[in-house]
Amino acid sequence: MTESVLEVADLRVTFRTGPRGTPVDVVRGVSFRLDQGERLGLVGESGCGKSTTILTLMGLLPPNAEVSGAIRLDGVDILQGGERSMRPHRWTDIAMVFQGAMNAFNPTRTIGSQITETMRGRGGASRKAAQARARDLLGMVGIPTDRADRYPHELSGGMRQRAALAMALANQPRVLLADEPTTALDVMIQAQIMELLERLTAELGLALVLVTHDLPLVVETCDRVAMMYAGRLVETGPAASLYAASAHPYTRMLFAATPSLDLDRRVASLPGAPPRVDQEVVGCAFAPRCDRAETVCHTQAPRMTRMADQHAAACHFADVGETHQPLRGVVH
Amino acid sequence: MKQSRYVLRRVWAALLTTYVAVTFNFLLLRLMPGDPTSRLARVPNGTEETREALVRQFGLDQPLWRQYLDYLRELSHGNLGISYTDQQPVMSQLLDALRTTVPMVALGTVTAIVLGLAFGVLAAWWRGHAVEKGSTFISMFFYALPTQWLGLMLILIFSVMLGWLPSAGMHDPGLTAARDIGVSLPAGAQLRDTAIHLILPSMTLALVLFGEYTLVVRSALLETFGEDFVLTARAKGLRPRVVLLRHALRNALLPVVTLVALSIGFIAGGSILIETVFSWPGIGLLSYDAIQARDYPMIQGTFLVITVSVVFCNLIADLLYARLDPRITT
Amino acid sequence: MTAPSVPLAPETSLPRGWSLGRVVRNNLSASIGCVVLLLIVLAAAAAPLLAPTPLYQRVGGGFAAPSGAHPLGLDDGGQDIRTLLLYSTRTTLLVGFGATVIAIGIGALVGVVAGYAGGRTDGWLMRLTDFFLVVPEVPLMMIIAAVWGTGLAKLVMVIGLILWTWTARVIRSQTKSLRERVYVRRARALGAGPGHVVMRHVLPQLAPLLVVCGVLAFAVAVFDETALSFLGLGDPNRPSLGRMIALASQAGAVSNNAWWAILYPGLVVTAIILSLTMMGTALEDALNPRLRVSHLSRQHFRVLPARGSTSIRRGASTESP
Repeated sequence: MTESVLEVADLRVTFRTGPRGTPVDVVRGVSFRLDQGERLGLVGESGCGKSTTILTLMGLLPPNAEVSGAIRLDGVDILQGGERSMRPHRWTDIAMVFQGAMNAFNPTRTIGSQITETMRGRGGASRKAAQARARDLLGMVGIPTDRADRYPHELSGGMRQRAALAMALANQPRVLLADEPTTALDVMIQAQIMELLERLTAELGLALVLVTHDLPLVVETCDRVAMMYAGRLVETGPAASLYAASAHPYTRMLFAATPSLDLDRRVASLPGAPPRVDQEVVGCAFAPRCDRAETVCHTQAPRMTRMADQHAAACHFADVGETHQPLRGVVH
Repeated sequence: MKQSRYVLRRVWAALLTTYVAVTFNFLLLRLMPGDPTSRLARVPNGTEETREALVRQFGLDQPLWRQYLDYLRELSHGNLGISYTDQQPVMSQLLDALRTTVPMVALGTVTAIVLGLAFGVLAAWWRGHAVEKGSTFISMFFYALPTQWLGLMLILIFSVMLGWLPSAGMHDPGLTAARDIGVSLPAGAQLRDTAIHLILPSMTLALVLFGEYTLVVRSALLETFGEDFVLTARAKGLRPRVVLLRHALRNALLPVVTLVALSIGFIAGGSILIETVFSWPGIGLLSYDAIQARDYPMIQGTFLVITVSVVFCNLIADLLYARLDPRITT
Repeated sequence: MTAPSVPLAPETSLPRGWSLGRVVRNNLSASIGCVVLLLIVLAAAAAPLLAPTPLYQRVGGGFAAPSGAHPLGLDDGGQDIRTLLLYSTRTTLLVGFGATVIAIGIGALVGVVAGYAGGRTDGWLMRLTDFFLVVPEVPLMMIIAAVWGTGLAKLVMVIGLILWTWTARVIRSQTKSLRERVYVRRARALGAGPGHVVMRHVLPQLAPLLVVCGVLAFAVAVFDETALSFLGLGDPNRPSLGRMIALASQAGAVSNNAWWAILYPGLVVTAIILSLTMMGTALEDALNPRLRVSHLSRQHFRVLPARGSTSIRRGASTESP
């Protein structure tokens, strides 16, 4: 088996907000590992803590955040030293494509200068070399190389997202984090960007963490899937086995909630809402929305239990495992 | 240039504003309630003769449109009329006064911008910390000072009590007298003398201005800190300080340029108060004296010069904005 | 003094569950400003009760230095500075308040009409606003006051008629975005007239912003009163803080080193403007949604070594620019 590049162990993030510093637990103990060249999809509804999780991997949390756990890069923890130990790895080891990539570029500077600035100082590249590489990168993502001298507003949304991808590859990272990289783009462009992302990660042997709420997209693109709910991972496993045999009711619910080409199946909506982040969760966080919850679910938090090879779920009834197809949610 | 349309639009707007100000200037004396001749004749020690001279000079016996055309024609030749008080052409006095005002105002404004940037950056950087609270309080304090009062207090402290700096004028009377009777002065003595006289007036302006600039720079920076590209810049592993200087500050300067431009009108008002307090012989003092003497041609002239200067400075700021922001294309 | 930094952000709003009063209570500097201003207003209102000597009564020599009987000293006419301060503050606050009411009234009217009507009306009103925004205010007030004559009401009008521009700009951009909110559009689609929509849906939403504009305009109005009075364009029949400074300096307080005749009125003006600014800035910050997110800070997140442990380490040492 290959060595894991990135390993996250029991990651917890708490924000202290308000004048009295009310703690809000956003990430409540997340662990996963990422192998060289592996593609992991991190899936959940908005507010489940998935964005916070990957921002933590970059060390980009605001000062009112408290973090514990471990983030190991090649087996060495980079979290404990805080900002000081994390900054050297940004962009050189772990790079990121943001959700709001439309605004990821500074509007007053050219695309090229924003791609080269990380190669110059720390990368130690000469001006000429950096500029040449910036052009190569733009070429790789399918942007005419002369666009390096353009300002962000002169590029279309899709172009800017490609340029953001080129920028993320500037320092040859080994891990790429992509936070909803295709929201705010139209469907055709979305498909192109996803295809580009797949091709580049494969070509460059990059490990990818794709954060999204689009479960089918992940199943299609990623090797493994991690389902996140209320700050915790509730099911992890190979994409294929997650699709074929979802163990957690939440996963099944998300599958049911996506439109499908099967004419005999109709789209189910997700009843209820996730628990509020500022409240203590007793028992299983999903229990109030779960159609098969029993008394134990409301009193006792389920532990992650391994079922099959690599496939694990945090549900008291995970071993009952069934496919997502027969699920009857609230049907329109 | 793609920006040429923007430039043209701004120049056009500036011309329009100037034209409206010119017309306003014309109408003000004629459309105010009451008989313009009697108001105009309310000149201290005005005789019947001066009254008639005024009526003729302003063409008040002509129909309004006729007066307006005459006014515009004279103006286009740079003729702003003759001052009542010393019978000199208004224009030439204005030009002399402008030459004394500009260095004082420029020194004060530039100092204020430098201080405002420094304090504003500090305040934003140390958000939530005592440094921010201290520097915002200091800026609010100086923002709250009445200009003329600060000037008087500085004179009391530095001239009357400590005797370090001269309190009024721009030349030492002794030095001027010596030059007038033919004493040859060492080179640079006069320049040094003027520089010493310049300190208090321009520092008064700098102090009353910098507070507002600090507050503006601070909030513009804090707004920029929330932008996505700042997060991206941090993700790229740039040091926070580099992100601040290379990415955030540059963008925060955009609103700052606009707001500094809008404060130019305040600077003009401030220069009137400051020049009055320090007897600095510029446009401001000229307009104060004109108001006291109800010297209407001079009042109009100073108002026009001040307004045109302010409009011109605003135009410069607009063009600077276009240089800083590549997004401006239309 | 011309341009408070009220954001021109598309939409200003208070964070959920907050009111202007709560912002002031929770912000130390705003609370101090509020208390100081209240004390000054109360003292000015009670001037006849608090004044140690009757107004216009000579109680000693011109520019007599502070003494036990008159701790703030006397002015050039031998009047107790304390008495003068109390009565002058009344005038200054009155002028400031009156001018603010006029300015906010015009500003709200112009802003709402321009923002709601849009199109040509908006274009012309904004051109007018920009003109007044660019033309320097003190010289403009000077020339109007010089032609129009002096007096309390005229002073209030002159200041109010020139101070409305910033409010109009801010209110316009806010109205524009309120107009497109779903419930406002729904009301319009259901046939509600502009008057109804504005009174029912737009104005209530504008209220906090108008208060902030008012607080900041008040500060500028007080500043303008002292400036115009200093230039001899105030009401000659009433003592005001601006006139106290002007008269003292004309009577030679500076050359006689009678600092008390100048210091105290200026301090009161400063205290008024400073309290208003402290409140205004806090409210402004609270209303600005763009100040609620920050990706850049001198400080970093904290790392807790392990769960349950109490010792806390800083993410990294602090950095300064």
